[in-house]
Amino acid sequence: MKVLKYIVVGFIFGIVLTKSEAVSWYRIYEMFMFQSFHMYGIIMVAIATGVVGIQIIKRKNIKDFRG
Amino acid sequence: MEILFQTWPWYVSGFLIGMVMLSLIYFGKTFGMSSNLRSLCAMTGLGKKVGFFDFDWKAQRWNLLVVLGAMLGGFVAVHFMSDASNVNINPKTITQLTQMGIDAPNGKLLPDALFANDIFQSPKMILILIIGGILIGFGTRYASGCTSGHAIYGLSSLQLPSLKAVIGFFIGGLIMAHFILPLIF
Repeated sequence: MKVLKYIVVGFIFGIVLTKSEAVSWYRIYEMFMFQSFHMYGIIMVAIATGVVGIQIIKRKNIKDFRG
Repeated sequence: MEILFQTWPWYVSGFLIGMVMLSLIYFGKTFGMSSNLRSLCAMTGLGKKVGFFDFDWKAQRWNLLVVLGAMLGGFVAVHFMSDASNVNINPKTITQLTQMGIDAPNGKLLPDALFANDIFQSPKMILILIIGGILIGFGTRYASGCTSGHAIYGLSSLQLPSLKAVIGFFIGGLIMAHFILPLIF
């Protein structure tokens, strides 16, 4: 179980990165050419989710799973 | 089901990436892919010779499992969840790439001009990929993180050094895409 949860999180991460095409050379090139919002959207939403999530964890003082 | 095979929208993908990071924090860990490069080097026993690799890499094994999972996830997504409509980039970008001799995506994630098997017949392409690999390996360790660690985890936890690193990545990427890539191709 200890091993499995990291593999599962990684597995989801791999699928998301591939299906969002964030791993695509083309998407990255397109981003640097400022010809699409796609990559900027992904990065901004990921950071916004992270900022809100970390603040909730801090405010509510949620302990990690080991307490 | 159909929707799973198409390109996932940015607002769904971004949210899921954020949740992946938060679940690792919940497990009491951090989020960052490139620190595994250091672990992999330390595993070979380099720590006896180089102080930088002399650390308890076994405590970082969880992160290697995340990478293993990501590789499996990538495999499943490419082989069982892909569609020819994928990587539908801006037509202007495709025109620009064609002018440089780089093939259009047509559902592929990577251009054949850079990553197909026949590049092994071109010493120039092999050299470019080796130099790229060295720069990634050195740069991510020199900056203590890559895009995942600095842009996603670092910025989410409001770290100033990460903001500086991300600005650096972006400037580097702009210089590469606008000035160096056209010189190479």
